[in-house]
Formats: sequence, structure tokens, C-alpha cells
Amino acid sequence: MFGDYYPSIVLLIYAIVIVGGIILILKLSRDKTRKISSLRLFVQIVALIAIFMGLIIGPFNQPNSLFYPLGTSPRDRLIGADILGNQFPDGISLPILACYYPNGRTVTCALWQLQAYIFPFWDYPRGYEVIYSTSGLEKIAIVIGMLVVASLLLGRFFCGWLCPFGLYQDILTRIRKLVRRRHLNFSDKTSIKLGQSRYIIIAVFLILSFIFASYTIFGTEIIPGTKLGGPQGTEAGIVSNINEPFCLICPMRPLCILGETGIGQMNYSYISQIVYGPFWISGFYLTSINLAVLVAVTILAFAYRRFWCRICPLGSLTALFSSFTPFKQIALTKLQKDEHKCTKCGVCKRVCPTQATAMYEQKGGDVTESRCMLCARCVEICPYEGALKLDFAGKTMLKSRNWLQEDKSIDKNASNFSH
Amino acid sequence: MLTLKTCSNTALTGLGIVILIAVLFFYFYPNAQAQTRQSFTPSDSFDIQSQNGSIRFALNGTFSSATLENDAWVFNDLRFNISRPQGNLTVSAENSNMTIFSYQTINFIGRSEFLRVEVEGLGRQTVNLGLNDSKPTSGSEWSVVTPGSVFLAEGEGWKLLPDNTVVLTNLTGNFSIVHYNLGLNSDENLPFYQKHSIIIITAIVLAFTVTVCVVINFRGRK
Repeated sequence: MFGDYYPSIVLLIYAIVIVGGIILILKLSRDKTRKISSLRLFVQIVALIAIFMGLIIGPFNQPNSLFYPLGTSPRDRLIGADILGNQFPDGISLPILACYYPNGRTVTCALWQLQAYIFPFWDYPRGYEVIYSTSGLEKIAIVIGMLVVASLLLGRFFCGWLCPFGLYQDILTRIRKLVRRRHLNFSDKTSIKLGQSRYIIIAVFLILSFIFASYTIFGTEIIPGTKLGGPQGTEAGIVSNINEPFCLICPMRPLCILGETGIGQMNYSYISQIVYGPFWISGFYLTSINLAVLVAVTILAFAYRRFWCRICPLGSLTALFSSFTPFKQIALTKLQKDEHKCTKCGVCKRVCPTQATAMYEQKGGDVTESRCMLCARCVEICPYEGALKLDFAGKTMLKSRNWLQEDKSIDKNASNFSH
Repeated sequence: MLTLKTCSNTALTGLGIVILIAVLFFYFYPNAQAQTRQSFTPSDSFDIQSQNGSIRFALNGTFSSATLENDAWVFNDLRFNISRPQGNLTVSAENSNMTIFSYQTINFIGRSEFLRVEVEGLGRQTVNLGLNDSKPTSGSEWSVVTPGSVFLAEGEGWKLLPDNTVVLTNLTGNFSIVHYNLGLNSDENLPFYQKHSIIIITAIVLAFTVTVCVVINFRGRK
């Protein structure tokens, strides 16, 4: 009916819904302690749709098209694809789990790109005949450049407000609250160790990428069986499954694929029928390890708020470029504390989903730490006006309000009116 | 802090900007709507009587013009309904009938073009996808794909001419003619800054961002 205007109309409706939704949340939300949380949930849903916008705006695969077996949705709908061209054809890198594998994505997970470009399996004419006109080193430099820019601008705001896997965990938290179960906490020592483990995880998997790529890069197999061969179904097919080692265990991959299959945007028969390589390959885009990790993370995230975010290697990259010197000195998004207004009530520490403690323990100033994902829950719940603030470029975006006093005065006015 | 009044003003301003951009967007895209277009349906047949062949489309669509030139139909600015404009397609069929099911440009292995057809009758067909790049492409950038995902190499029922026309011989049934935009030849003679434009732009953006961050934080400390 709308012909070529269809994508434009969808985008316009999407933009109107975003603006309208933000206005409604800010105007209608009465509970001062949930306003920011409601806004954040809305932004997360908007981000989820934007990340996989191709599912809605197409162009859709016709029944006789080459990619119809994969599903009706486009394989991807990358922002800036025409500009990035063959130099960087996999899309803009962002520090969120915008998984490479499902259909319809508009941006790409930086971790996938780092692994894929370390392992130059994609060079023509080997493997899948994917061509890049730039070297792996150049592409890695572009990914890191984009990561640094994103981290300096927003830091772990990506984790708290934009990451789709964060939304999944927040939904689990809401379900837990519905069934009136209390969350669990790690001890401070464990929480710190979990935070440190992120850096070990990402180092391990990047090193694994090098090891699996050793034959292609250096001409020597460090691990037997990683020598490149022919197309899928052969030795190279096995190799092709380990060229992004982290993606073999990432819980986001099965969540996306099964999610899209559930809503009919990917054909499960296509994903499940193409099986080759080791026994743990469950399908074309799935491994049994993926599924096991998803189940484990789901259970843990139900009990411990934002469990995955405590160990997420992508979050570690963002934290590296925003929460540590020298990046911390110049990052634009910060959590600020006014020590004169803080009474050390400790409520900020209690509500923090990742058990960050800097906003409680540090005296004042910039209290952003690597575990903090800038969700602003502490800002929302802090009952002292201006004690905690979320700043961007030196301007206060959100600050704590004396909601206790405001609620009391509302009650007082209500009682006066009734009399 | 976000006050209700500030948010309303900002949000209304933002909404206004969005609507303005959307109106301008509609105005400029797609610009082909301003031109006179002709529509076609699956019942329309584009005959090539001198070659005992015909071309049909399996879907409804439009084109700005369709002319028979040198025993080949040239469809300008061809598009199928609910699809983006695809470009110019030149096809012919000799002693056979060709039905075109889809004609798409997709972001896969760069920007790839493909045409999905069904051919009845043993004969000869030619297909030119109207590539923007007028330079000859390499045969390794093309595939003819049959059902069951069998990729036919050049010489197995098809060949590539210097003007990027694919000539198919004695192939029948459903298959796709795919051009992978590998850019094998296109980057060779480009200057350095064009060959590496993305990393150069990334470095500039990074330097700009760092500068802005330093300035903002330095002024904040003052």
C-alpha cells in the first residue's frame, strides 16, 4: 500500500513514538523513585528496535530470493553501509551486544568485529568469498577508534541504557520482583573479583583468536586442525566455527536467534539443518555451549541483578576507555557526588545493580567506576537534593531530588484539601 | 536537571525538527515518483519476436521506460512494488521464455546485486544488471546459483562479456544470477586517501572527540 514510502513512514512513526513516549513518561510518572527507571526501560526498548530495525523496514526477502531460506527479514540493514563500502562492510562498531548473527541489525557488536578481523579467514578467495579492501590491522584500528569515541562520549551508558542484553536482564529482574523474590548479592570481595575477571575473559578470547588464526597469520598451526582448507563442511568449516571464539559461548547469540525465530523473522529449519564440525555445533548459528551459557546466565541474572554485566568482556572494553586514567579524566559522561550533601545513608549502594561502591565510599567529585553502568538508579533513589548527579559534558542531566520531602508535602496538601 | 517544562519545550522542539526532516525526506525520496512511470503485471509479456523469446515478471512493478534495443529489452529504473528502486536491467531471451522473480541489491559481501529468474526452453539468454561501475568485472565476482545452492562457475552454462553482460546457454529452471561487489578492480588506482578513507575519517573523529573532551573537562575544572 505504501510502496517505496514504507520505510520512511515507519521511521517517522518510530520517531514520533520516541518523542511522545519520553514526554508521557516524564509528565505522567508520579512515583519519583521510578521515573528514571521507567525512562530507561523505554530507551532500552527503543534501542532494541533501532538495533534490529531491519526486521521492520526491510527490504524483505521474496520467496524466490537467495536469502529466503534464512528468513523473510533482510540479513542486515547497516547504517552507513554505502559510506563504509568494502573498507568496512560490517557496520558501525558499538560497545553493545548488537549480535552479528540474527537478521536485520543496523550496527554491529565490536567484540565480534575484533575477533573476526584478527582471524583473517574472511579474506578472499578463502572461506565465504567475503571481500574487504582493507587489511585486518586497519579494520581493527577502525573498531578501536570507534570504541574509544563511543566510550569517551557515553562510557558505560551504553551498558545501562542501550544494550539489548541489559534489557533482557532487567526484564528478569522485574519478573523476580513480580514473584516477590529478593535478589542476592555477592560479597564485596567477590564483586570486585568478578569485575576484574572481565579483563581476563576478553584477553583470553582475543588471544584465542590469534591462536586459531596462527596458520593464516604466521603460516604455522599452533593448534592442530586450525589450518585453512576448503569450504564449509570440511576442515575449514570446522575452523570457521572457531574464528570468533567468544561468540561460541556468548549468551546473546542464541537469545537473538531463538528470539527472531520465535517471532518468525528467521527460519529455524535453516539454522538447525546446517550442521557440521564438532559435536557441540548445534546448528548453523548455534552451539550447545551458547545455549548452556544462556540458561546459566538467565538463572544467575534472575538471582543477581545484571549478572552478565559484571563479567561482560565488551563492558570491560568500554570501562577501559572511560573509567581508567587517562580516559577517565576526559570522558564526558560522569557520575558526580557532592560530599557536602551526602549523609552516607548507603541507599545508593543498596540499589546499585552491579554493586558498585564508589558513589558511597569516595568522598566527592567524579565517582564513576568501571563497575558502574550509569543506570542512574542511585541518582533516582538518593533522597538528598543534588547529592548525586549524572553529568554529560559538564551539564547535569539527572540529579537526585529530595523525594521524601516532596512526598510529605504532597500528602500534607492532600490532607488540607480534604478538610 | 530535567524539569517538566524544560522537557516539554525541548521535546516539542525535537518533534518539530523530526517532522520537518520527515517532510523534507518524503519530498526528496524517492525522487522518481515525480516522473511518469509505467506499471507492469505478471500478465504482461515483453516479446522478442526476432529471437523467438519473451520476458515476463512474476510480480507487479513499474519502470520509467522499456525499450527493445538490439534484440534486448532495456528496463530503466525498474522496481518491484514494496521494494527500493533497483536500477536499469537489460535482458534478452532466444528460443526461450524468461520470468523474472526478483531483482535486488543487498548488503552482503559489499553491495551485491542479484536477479532471480525462471527459464523455460533450451536457448540463450543475456542479462545485464546495470552496474554503476562501467569497468569490466572479473568472472570470479559472479555466480549463477541453482536451487540447492549449487554455485556454477564461469563456463558452466554461462559466461561474462566485457560489458558485464552475463550470457546463459542451455540453462533452464530456476536460478539466480549474482554479482558480488568485491571491488577487486575498483580500488587499485585510487589515491591513498580514498583507499583508506574510513580509517582516516575515524582518526579525525577520534582526534576531534578527544579535543572536545579535553576542552570541556579543562573548562569545567576552571
